[in-house]
Amino acid sequence: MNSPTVSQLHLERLLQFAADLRSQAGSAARAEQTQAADPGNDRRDLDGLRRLDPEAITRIHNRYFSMVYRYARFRLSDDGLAEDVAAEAFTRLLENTHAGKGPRDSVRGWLMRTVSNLVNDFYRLHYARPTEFLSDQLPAQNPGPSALAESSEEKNALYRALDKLTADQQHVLALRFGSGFSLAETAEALGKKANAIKALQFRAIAALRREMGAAGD
Amino acid sequence: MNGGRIPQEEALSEALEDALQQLEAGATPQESLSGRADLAEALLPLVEAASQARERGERAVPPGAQQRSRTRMLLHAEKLRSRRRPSRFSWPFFRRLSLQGLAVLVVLVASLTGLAAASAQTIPGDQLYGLKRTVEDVRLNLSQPQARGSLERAFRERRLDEIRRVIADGRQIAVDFEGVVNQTGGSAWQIAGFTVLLDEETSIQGEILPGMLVRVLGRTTARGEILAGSIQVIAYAFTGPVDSRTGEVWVISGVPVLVTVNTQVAPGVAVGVQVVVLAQVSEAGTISARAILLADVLEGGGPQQEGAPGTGEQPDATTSGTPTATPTATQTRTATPTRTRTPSPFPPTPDDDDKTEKPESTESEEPETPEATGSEEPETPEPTKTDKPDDD
Repeated sequence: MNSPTVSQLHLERLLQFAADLRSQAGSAARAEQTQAADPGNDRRDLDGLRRLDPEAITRIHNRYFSMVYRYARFRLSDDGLAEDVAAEAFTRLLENTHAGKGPRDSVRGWLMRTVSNLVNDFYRLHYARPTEFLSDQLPAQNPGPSALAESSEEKNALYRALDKLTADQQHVLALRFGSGFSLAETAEALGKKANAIKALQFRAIAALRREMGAAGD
Repeated sequence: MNGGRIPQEEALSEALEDALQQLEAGATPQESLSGRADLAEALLPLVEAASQARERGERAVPPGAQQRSRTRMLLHAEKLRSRRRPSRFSWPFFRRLSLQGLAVLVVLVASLTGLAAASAQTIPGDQLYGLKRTVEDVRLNLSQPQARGSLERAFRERRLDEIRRVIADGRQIAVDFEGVVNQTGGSAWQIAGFTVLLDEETSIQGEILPGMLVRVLGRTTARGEILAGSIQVIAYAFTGPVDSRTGEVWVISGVPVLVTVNTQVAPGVAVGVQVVVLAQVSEAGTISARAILLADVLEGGGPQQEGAPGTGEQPDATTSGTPTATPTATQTRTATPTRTRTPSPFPPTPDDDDKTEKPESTESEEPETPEATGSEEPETPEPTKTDKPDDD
């Protein structure tokens, strides 16, 4: 049977149609429910996430997308890449929660850890291989390291300096300046005391300054 | 700045945090240190660096990013929801691997080594075949929502091609494919053009009728048939009037259908109206609707299909067993073009959070979807154009 049957075509079209409808409906009507992070909401929605309830998924996504994206964008030099990494973090949240794993209490903490690991993984891979091996075999929609290398932003002193910091230092700066976390929120996300964060961010900023100075000289 | 003894560092980090809070409140770097003249000289360069970093962080989220990511998440949920429990014929390892989301990295590594390209021509049983499937999953995960449907179609068609090659090679091997049921009855069914044998161990979920889209897990035989381990209904569509609706249970064309909050119900659907139901059958046999659409809207989308000869649509004669689920339903085509075309079948959905990207999607995309896909689908639903990376 080489040509599809009428009913198959019909189905394909319907499936596509339903997917479209679903994605439309996802954004519809529920925008007002974008609440601030709140453990009570999270707990309820985690339950929904486990059941793959589209409404809970939408609420969690709306609540945290911006902070996750901004985190990724702070550490990566490309919009598309940051978007992919952020989306991947949410997909993993869904996978894990559905599988009975994932966050117990703080969805935010879990997401921030995950996105940070994804960024670290990306860099590990980026630096593990010389760029010239990266060819045009990459899927077009995935702006790989070679695209990244050409990005004008990489010439930016701040970006290059950031790149030289340790993963921990980048993490704390991305939380504070990318996601816009307060000292207390950063401490909570890292599971450390506020004083420890102060010291960590001091060293991170000092290192940033040093690297920027070094590049300028 | 390298004179940082421990007590000194503590004071500095304390003062730095104060300055950061001032920056946040809108102060300039100089102003933020006005309270700490003693440390200002040491800290000013740091505060300036921090101020630059803050600016970098204030970049706006690009329009569309949030919606795309959310769609991806919702589609992934759909995939998880429809995932079947593993059986003796599944591809457990590579499936799980890709779904873990190692996705992007796997493709990068595969591209680096040229393995992805090398795997493109493989068929089940080849060493690199698992990689091919992984690459496909990744591409699906990374695809834009609009492209996803055609990619899925392409990949589904590719599965069928592979099986044809497997059979031509005379290999006896586990296969897993999705296709439309052409004919049921007895122990040899026709599914997606293959002869599918059933034995006493074959597990069948739900009632299967011609026209349904099913997933078959099985094994090729020496004689070019497929011995089915399991056959599961993925979805099917039927047309008919809405007879009644009581809470979550609607009766459509005589068939009780579960309609939940997750069902997409097109505006205008009411008792007596002719609708198309996209239904899913649970393992328990419950029929739940994924979408209920106005029949005439879909009809407007692809008239050429309605006129095409219905190879897969021989009515009741071929059905097996007792058709309790959908007597005539599956075979009826969208039969009543009472209205030829509604200009905008789905009113713009009230939308608050994505002002930037929504207008074009509600206004133009949605009503055109059936047309757009319909017009390129008629003969070969295999948009090879989207397939280049692997196929070369």
